Amino acid sequence: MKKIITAFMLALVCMTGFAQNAAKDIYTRYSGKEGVSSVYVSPAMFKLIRKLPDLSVSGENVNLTNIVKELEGLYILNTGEGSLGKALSEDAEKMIRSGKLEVMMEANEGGTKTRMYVAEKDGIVSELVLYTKEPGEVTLISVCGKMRMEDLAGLLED
Amino acid sequence: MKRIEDIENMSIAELQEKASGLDVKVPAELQTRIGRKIDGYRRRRAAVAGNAVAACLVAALLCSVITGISLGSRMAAEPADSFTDPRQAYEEVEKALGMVSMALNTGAASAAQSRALFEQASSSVNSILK
Repeated sequence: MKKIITAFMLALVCMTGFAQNAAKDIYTRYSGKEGVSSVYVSPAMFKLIRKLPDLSVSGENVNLTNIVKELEGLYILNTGEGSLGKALSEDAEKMIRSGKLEVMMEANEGGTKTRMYVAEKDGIVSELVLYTKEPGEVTLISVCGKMRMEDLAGLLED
Repeated sequence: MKRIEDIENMSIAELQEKASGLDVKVPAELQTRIGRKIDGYRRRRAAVAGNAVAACLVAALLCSVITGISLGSRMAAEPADSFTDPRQAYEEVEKALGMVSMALNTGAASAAQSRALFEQASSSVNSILK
């Protein structure tokens, strides 16, 4: 009996070990639907981007070069505030509540709610999620990679 | 028939002497019957162990099948790149990071404002307390 229970528990652990990227799940669910704008940049595309010869942003107050080199995936979803927007909001809230993400920033300005979350360990951010809800629009951006906190600070204006 | 109090007062040696001298009738083939019972118990235990091993193998097989199906479905569900040109993809990356940058700067500005207000309040409290 003990052996059966042990085998069953091992099976459960194996299944839960294959946890999927929640942002990818949400993207797969909503991309292609009418009324939803979606953008996905894969790790392979980021490899090509890194090989671009003139990979620098000129005339801006922020430095994106270092960050782009550390990115491995980008998911963007944008939709209006109808039933799809509501469903997307709920899924985004579920993803945020899953416990993997920490609140980095929350702002409420002129009816626009902006929230930023990160999954960080030992100074390396593996996922950054930006969730914006404004009148008539819901946007979810998930940036995946191995970003250093110092490089994220480069996104702040000088 | 001895009384319980008498038996309790007897020493171990006396009790052993009494026991060895008793004429106990052992049932016929007791040894054989006990042996058969023990053999039967051992066979049942072996059967249970065998069933447990079979159950573990079945569980492992199910686990590998389920894992295979989930891996297969996960690979099948890999989304397609939105762009084939890396420059176009980079433009979108820039826009997205620009939005992140804007949000971060808004947060930093709010934090700076709050800090200024806090310092103002702190200096007011300090001046009152002096």
